Amino acid sequence: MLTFPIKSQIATLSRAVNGSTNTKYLISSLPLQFARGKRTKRTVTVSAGTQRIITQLSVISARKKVPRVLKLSNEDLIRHDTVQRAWTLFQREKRQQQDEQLSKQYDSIINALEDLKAVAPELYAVANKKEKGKRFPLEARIPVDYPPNKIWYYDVAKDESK
Amino acid sequence: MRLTVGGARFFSSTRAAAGKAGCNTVAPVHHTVKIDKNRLSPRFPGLQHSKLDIRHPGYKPTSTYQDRVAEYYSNSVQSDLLLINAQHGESRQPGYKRREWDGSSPFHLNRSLRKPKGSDAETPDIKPHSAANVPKIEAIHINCYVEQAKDNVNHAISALVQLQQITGVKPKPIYSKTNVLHWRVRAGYQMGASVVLKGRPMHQFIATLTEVVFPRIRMFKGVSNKSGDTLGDIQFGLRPDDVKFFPEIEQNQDNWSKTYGFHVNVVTSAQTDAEARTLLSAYGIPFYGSEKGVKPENVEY
Repeated sequence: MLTFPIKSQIATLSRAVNGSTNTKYLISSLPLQFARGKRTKRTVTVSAGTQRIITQLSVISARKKVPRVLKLSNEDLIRHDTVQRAWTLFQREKRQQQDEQLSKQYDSIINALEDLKAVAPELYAVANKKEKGKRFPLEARIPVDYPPNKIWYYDVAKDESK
Repeated sequence: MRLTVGGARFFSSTRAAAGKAGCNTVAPVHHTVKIDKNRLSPRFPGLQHSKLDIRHPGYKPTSTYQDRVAEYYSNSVQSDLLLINAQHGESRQPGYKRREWDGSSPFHLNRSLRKPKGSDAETPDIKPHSAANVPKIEAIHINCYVEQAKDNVNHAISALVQLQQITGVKPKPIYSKTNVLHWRVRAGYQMGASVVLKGRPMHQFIATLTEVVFPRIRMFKGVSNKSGDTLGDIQFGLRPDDVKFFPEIEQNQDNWSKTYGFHVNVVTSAQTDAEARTLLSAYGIPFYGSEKGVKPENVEY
């Protein structure tokens, strides 16, 4: 056995890991050598704090998170493209409608103020004042799918006993 | 001597090639044109498409859920804001601009312009309000500077992970820029993280902040009416204890024994801070304190 050079020993070991060699070469009295691809047991232990940082670093690493690219046939691709275009078109039309609505609203605000200026200048002065410090009511909520049954407790009173 | 006159062959029309002194005045461009070598390679055909194409490996579907905050804005807030801000007979108000010198000295001739009156920097003009410039929230910048990171960089990493957990967007580490002796900070230290939120993650963050976090902060008064950079951006901060109320942190308290406070800058398209505050109040952000230019009797709540 000792006639084998070390290099060939390593080669045999690494091939043995792949499971594609004769088993007779494995019988050896030489100590085990490092072979690429062979798993070794981790002996270094780290403190809990360091381990937490290692975990956190793995959380922010992009390596494990990139999903596979979808394999789409030509038909899938056309289908996806059609849906995508339709969705874009739908959104664009919706946006244009909203913009049109807004500019109509603006025009009517300005028209109303012009009329008011001609009819009642003192009312116009009040109506055209800058509303600095204006706030939306605190009760205003961003709508949700499932609102609570009782939305706002209007009669809430400060508990004097506490 | 029989090839050309004077023994020089004219391969190029430049003066140097013609054997004359001088230099080429045409700047070379070959190293200023950036070439993305990934796109030249035939190995990755997916990279030839734009990132919005589903065949690109970086494709990320965005409109996968209903964006209720965006709908709330377009369905009710936008038209209200238009009405609140609309003014009849408005004209463009020029901002602070750099001024000409009066020419009393001959040295004024090539001197750079004077600073604006009452300001160090120029400010933009305030344009008349219209349907096209209704204020809206454009982005939220979150900046988390961790002081302890100067001794232990692990704090900066944890702060970065915390921001990612809260916002769902990958933050960028921030580094100290200069040496500050009495802070014991040197240039180049990783000191925390920052993230810019836009679109859906931004709306998600606003909703969580105003519906989950703010109502549970003890003795919470709101955002100061004095906050703002005069150009329509509002800033406030969250303390480490407040951050614990974010559901991502609260549900996983074992791993978040230490949390990090951060600064939030809400970038809006409003032209003044007062308009920006009106806009933010629509999302349920309360304000406290006296506001500049508003009489106390006119305050609504």
